[in-house]
Amino acid sequence: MRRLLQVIPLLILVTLISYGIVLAAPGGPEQVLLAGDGSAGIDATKLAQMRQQWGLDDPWYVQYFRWSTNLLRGDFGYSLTKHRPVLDLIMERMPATLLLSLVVTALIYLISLPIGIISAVRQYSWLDHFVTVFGLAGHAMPGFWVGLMLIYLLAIPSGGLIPTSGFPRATLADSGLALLLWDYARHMFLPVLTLTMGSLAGLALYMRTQMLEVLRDDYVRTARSKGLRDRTVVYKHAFRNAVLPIVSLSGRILSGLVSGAIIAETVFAWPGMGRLFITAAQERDYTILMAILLISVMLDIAGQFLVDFVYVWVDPRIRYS
Amino acid sequence: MSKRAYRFAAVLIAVLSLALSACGGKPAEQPKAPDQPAPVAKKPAAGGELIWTMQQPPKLFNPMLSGDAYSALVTGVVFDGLVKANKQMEVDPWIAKSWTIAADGLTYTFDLRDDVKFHDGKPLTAEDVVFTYMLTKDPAYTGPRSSTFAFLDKVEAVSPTTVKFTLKRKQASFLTNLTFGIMPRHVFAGVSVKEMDKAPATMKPVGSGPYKFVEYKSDQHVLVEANRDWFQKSQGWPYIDKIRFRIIPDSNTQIAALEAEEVHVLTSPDPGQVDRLKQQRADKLNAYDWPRNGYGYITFNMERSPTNDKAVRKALTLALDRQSIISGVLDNKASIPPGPLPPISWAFDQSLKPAPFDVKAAATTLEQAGWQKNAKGIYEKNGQPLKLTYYAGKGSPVVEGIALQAKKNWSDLGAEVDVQLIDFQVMLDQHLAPGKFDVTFSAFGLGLDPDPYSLFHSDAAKADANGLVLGFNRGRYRSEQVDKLLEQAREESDRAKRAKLYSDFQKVVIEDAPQLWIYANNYTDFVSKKVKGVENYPGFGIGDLHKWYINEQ
Repeated sequence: MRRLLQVIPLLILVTLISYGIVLAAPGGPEQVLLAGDGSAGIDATKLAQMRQQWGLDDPWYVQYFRWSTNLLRGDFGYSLTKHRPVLDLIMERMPATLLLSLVVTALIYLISLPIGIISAVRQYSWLDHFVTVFGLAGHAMPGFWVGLMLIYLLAIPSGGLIPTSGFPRATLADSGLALLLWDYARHMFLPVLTLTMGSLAGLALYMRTQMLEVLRDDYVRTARSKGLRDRTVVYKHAFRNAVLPIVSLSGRILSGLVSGAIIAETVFAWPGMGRLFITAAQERDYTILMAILLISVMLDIAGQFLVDFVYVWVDPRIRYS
Repeated sequence: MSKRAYRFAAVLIAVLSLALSACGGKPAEQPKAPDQPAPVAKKPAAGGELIWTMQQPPKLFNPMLSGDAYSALVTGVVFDGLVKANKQMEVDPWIAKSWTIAADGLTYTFDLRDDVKFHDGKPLTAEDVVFTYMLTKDPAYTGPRSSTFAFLDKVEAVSPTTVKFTLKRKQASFLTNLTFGIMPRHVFAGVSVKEMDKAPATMKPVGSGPYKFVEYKSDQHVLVEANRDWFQKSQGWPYIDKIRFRIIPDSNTQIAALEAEEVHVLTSPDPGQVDRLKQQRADKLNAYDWPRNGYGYITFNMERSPTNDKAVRKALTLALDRQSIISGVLDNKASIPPGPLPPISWAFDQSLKPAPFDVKAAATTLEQAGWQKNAKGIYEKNGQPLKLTYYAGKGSPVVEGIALQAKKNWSDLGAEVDVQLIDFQVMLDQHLAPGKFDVTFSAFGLGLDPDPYSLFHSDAAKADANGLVLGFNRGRYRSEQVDKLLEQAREESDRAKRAKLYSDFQKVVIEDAPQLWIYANNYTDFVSKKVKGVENYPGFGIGDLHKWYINEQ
């Protein structure tokens, strides 16, 4: 309970700092909007009028106060460049981002942890070398480039089977479940592949390193000499110890789900939160930026809480007073 | 190797050779079919779906409130204007059947067609025209058109089919500003101008144009469908049933989508890819080349040293190898504009030639003005070295390439050049507006009318109370002669006389050299061969979607 209370000052501090930084950036949304008509100069009175209308000239603490009190009422504010309530925009984009993120995160964990374990258990084997070399290569290749290569190598030659980009358009009403799943699978194939390839390596190698360390420990040798089956030793005892640092790392998954894969969303025209964030930053849309930052922070905090709970479950030595 | 291995290898080789033989070019024996005579011309028929790509999502579907090119794509087909631009950069009647201009040039009276209807069936009348244009005069209006209509005094409906525009001053280009879509007054009833951007009618537009708005899926696509009751339907227009504007933010993905035939149209892709697309996809795509009605240029700060010295500006112009830029960074798809008007403009003086690339002449110009090379090889005058800070926006390989070429050429000449590539907004705010720069790069596009008032008139160099110049004359160029020429040309309605005034203007500006004009690009638009009837507008690119067709009879 005490920990929960500690969250509140943390939230205030983080949002205050973020707000200050965002507002300090030069330029403002009114300039981006008025600059639209390229053949005319920007009328100074119109600029001033816009800033006044939106309260952008008020001192920063007044603006912050206004923003935070609105927030407590559930009002995330209004997007200045998109002319819609921020909450609407976020709710619209959230499903697309979650769809991709959940699938990718699940795949990454499901694939890289076992690979890491097997790689450690069969150190120096053919599989181990493969994982190390190709894993590092995958990690080093920029996601942007991988995405484009996949589009040119897989999508274009597929003659329409795999689309180059975009979000699935089939609906349950129009096409039925089977076609709907197929449409989603087709459109998600390349973005998921791109995102997974990049991140598999890191986690697999980390798991491998942790396992290698643990497998050398005394208690493992003891367990083996006691005659326990190798499988039990590895998967039950060694794994549970090796996975602890990975659990710590995973605290950031939740917010990572939401901040979205900006690069994959851009390359594959996927309408998610990552793109929303990037365009908002370029256009100085304060309300969208703050809303997404806030959500990220809250998810980070929630993620840490979850990590603490999982720790207790995995490692019986850990107990909180 | 084991027997199994041999067999596997044999099969593999067989499969590979089959595959590779399929990859070869056409066998030599097959003679190329002689050019067939054109088949009997097929007539266009209604139907089909056209898929277009947009790089960014449109903002507002309201011709008076949105200024970006992407919203304009949609409002361009959903709305009709009083007049329509033609390929000579003049305007033709559209909703307005005819018009008269009073002798004093201050009153324009338009006679409207009586058969134009909005998509909800209601007729378009003079009241709608009044509503649309008077928006810009409303004090609560914050859209981007207030400067365009600064000279407009009022708009009145004389009868349901007659509209009168009254100007405060003569403006020769006024007609060319009347291409904006006419909005329905009754749909916006009860909406205040202040809240107009939030109105449902702004995101679900009701117009009178060839296409009706269907839906906008945020960040995905805009869908419009044919208006079979359009006032031009007697011509059979529009042919195409549906248009889907797909939003694809990455330029490489856009090209991939075009090559995979997922989209039919791609406008102005990266110049480095144009040749490849033309060669490799000649069987699938038509390429439409068009010269841009604009240019990329360098601005010199006229208010501070060393760029306030004309000799310095002329020397820097002579010392920059612009041809290298065009061949290196722009893939030879541009020409060097000799002066302040792009070569495609009707007001461009054809006799003008760009300054040559002549480093020796540049050095002589500097030395004759009293600049001497110091011990470090940098020119100096009165103890001040020739030091320049060059600002440009980050993120474009073209802009960066130009900055590097300038640094190289000018350093070779004998100047110290510091290139700063920063975020465009930051650059505007912190360096250009307050005049804290020596040299900066930007690009500019003209509309239908060639008037470059906002770039060169001293009005556009006026600083506000904080000393910030928000207009486009960021170099703070002031010339009484240019001011007079521009003011006269603005009011002169005879095209030939205007051309003469602009010719004088160009000569004065070239002599003063407040800018260094680098390139006027040639863009290429690509359209799938499945789509026919495409019109190509010099200076603006492909257009007239209502004439395009996919199906044939």
